[in-house]
Amino acid sequence: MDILPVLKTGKLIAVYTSDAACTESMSLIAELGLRGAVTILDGGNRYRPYQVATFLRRKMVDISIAANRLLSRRAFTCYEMNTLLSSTPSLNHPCLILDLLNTFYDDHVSTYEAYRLLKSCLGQMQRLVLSGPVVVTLPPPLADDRDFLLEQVCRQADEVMIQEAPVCGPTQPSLF
Amino acid sequence: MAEATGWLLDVYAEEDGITLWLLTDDDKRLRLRMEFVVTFYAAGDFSLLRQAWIYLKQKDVRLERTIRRDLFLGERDVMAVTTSDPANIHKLFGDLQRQFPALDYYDADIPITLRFIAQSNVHLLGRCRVILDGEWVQTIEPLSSPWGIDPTPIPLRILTLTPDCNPAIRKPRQLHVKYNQREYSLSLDSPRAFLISLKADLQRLDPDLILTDYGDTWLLPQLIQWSEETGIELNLNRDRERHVLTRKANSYFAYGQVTFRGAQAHLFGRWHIDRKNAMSFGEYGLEGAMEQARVTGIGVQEMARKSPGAGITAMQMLTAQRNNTMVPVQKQQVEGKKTLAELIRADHGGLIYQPIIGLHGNVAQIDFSSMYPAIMVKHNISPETVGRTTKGVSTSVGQDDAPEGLIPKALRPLLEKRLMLKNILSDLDPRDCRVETLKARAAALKWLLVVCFGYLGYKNARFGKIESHEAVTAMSRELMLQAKEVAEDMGFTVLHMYVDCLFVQQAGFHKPSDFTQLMNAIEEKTGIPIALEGVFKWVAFLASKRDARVPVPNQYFGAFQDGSLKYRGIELRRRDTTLWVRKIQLKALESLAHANTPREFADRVPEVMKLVEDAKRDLRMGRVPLGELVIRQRLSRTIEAYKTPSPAAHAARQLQAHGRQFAPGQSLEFLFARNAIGVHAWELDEMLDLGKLDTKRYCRLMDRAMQTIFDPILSHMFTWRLF
Repeated sequence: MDILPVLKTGKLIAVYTSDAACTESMSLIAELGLRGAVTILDGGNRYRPYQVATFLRRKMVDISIAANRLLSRRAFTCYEMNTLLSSTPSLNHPCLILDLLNTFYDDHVSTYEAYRLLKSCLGQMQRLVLSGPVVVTLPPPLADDRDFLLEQVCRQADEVMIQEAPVCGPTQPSLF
Repeated sequence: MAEATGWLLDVYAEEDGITLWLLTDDDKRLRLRMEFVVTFYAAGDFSLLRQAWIYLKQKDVRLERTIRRDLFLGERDVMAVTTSDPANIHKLFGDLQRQFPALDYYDADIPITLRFIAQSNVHLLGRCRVILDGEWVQTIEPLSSPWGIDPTPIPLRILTLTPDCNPAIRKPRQLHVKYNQREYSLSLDSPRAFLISLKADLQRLDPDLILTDYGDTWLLPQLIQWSEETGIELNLNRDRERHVLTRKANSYFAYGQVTFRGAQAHLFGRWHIDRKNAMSFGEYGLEGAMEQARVTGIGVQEMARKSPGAGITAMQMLTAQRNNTMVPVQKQQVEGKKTLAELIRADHGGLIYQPIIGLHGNVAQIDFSSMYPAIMVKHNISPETVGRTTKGVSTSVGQDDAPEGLIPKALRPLLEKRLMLKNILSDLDPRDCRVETLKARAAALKWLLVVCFGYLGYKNARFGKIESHEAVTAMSRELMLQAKEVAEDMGFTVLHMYVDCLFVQQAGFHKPSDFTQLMNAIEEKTGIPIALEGVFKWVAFLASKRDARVPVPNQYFGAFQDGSLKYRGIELRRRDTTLWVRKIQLKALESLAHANTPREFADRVPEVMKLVEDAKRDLRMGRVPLGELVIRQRLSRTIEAYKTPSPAAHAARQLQAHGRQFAPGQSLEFLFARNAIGVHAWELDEMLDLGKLDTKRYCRLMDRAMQTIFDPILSHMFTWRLF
């Protein structure tokens, strides 16, 4: 899944895979870090700084310049995700939102409240899109009764990239 | 005007104030009333606040514009909503929040006990004096402090009710009743006769505490049902105007696992504690639960069932109330920006050393006492003091010169009380009658201190902030390295370090007093109290079972000089190990504890091997009670969600066929059997035929447990070909 070529200002890209595109997004962060500043907002503890550092080292010896361009913040509740997005300034560099919906599946938060907060988050994402590309990674919903949240994000996205989980072939059952 | 002195047992909200229960010095139980108003606050966009004001004007509340302090944002213009109906504040707040979800709300979900304590300074289970006009309290003043080391014992009347078996497995036939030294049983065959007897007992004894087994999940709901069916009125509350408060069972995700909390039944005017549904009751009992209630301000019934984290949250709320700081309903404070390098540097836990694998003699274990809370207090680490920019410089750890933060303020008395209790305990003779009570109280406080660090970073903590969480671990790593350097400078070998403890060794050092100088030096260097856990005659640090070259930091066992054992991470500590394996592993370790040196340890191996062979023979001959072979495992998800069912899921399916229902987080017991699915649920009515028991599998479990013990020496002596 190559996300880099489709990135452009004014475009919201949703990437839906079984693991919230963990490896792909780390590779993308490293690639973008080589080119300029990147904002990373992590909603599901998906950011792997060591993996990003490894990707960077494959491209350059001294990674400090690129590493200093990667600015990350984490959200642990959907309220925090909303605050993160609303406090992120509109800058002309890419913004990656990792596992945006993870905190919205929290059963301490009512479905209505999750819906309200997501609406607010999507509004903020629209603002960010105006100044730079925004990529949102999404794994399958954690709660069946809240899968409409995923649909809502995908509806707003300009492009939805889907990578289905590889299907295992038939296996020979063991005799003993 | 009348006056009364006594202990405050309970506080709860009413529609026109609060009710207090006082156990007086002349052994009376007084139900007292008190006028009490409660206030919560809303802040945010002024146009929204104006709409909210108009909405609330129709309700029976007092509205006021005022300025209050938010811990992170400082002074805020807020709308204060005051009601004289504390019982309905949740409804009032719920309605308002639904209408105006975008406002920030404060102080809306503070438990009534905390509001009362913050206002009156009278703490739960504390002594107080009241001036009364009839049943109405005119004034109330505290006569004791929750931080007193030796509180006056409360003369509680305790009635214990236990069924003769687990009601989830089979129908109980009798209820055992215990009051003081008297014990008797009531037959459950006739609900009518049983209810009449129990009602008479309740009226005669008038207990302050009904202590039950399965009271939440079976006894109290059953009593209510029988009372309705037979028409015999049975009110278990001392407050006749109240019904039993029931709460539904639920499953929740905490500390990396799904936990099941059974239904609950709370009483008014007296307490009900179900020992089988009280989170840590087994560890510190009633004394511990009462100690936690005393210092946290949460009622005994609640505290016994809740996690220590709820206690810490309550303490933070109380401190905030006392310092005129608002408690947000939803924390909005977020992590600051970090570059990749900053994140890699900051996002670490405690320091864990790779231990030196093998058996070591004369090793001292020294522990920092309550290390993380001590760091938080000493270095003023609190969400509002960490990560602030002062004079253009961002501070990554607490600001020692800043005013004391909310978290250190809440923790300081708790930490001091626990250290004092520990000091008293260390001076007492182990046979002293006060030891058990003091131990339970110290353990209860310890659990509050254990979780307080996690609540700095916990997502739902009211005053959490990830930077303060990181600051504590960063400081702890620094202190551990300082301690290591001090030890090495003094000629010690550091064998292992694990978060807050060090294992050190030096030739010729074997008495506790040999390590005093080292401990003094570490304490002087770090400023955190340190204590000698003990000197091991021998201690074994284990290797990974997959790769013998890799040490496992959290698995070790050893024998102290007094012959007592300490073991961590081995089968004996695991809840899913059968009693049979645990018993034999413990016996083996007890036998090895007679060894004074690693060499003597090796000499005792044949004796232990004989013990194991005898145990296996007993198993094959059917001489081991089946109850000792039961395995207990927890369901991590719903039964249907298992793609490859675990043994526990197989057992659950067996029981499901007999009508039992399971929720994620519930534990269930089973035996390993030689049948199609490999297990036999313990709760099934039909007993497992002994011939069907999977003895080979149990022997494998035993071999594995014994391998753990022998590995440190066998890897050097000979290959594992013993079984």
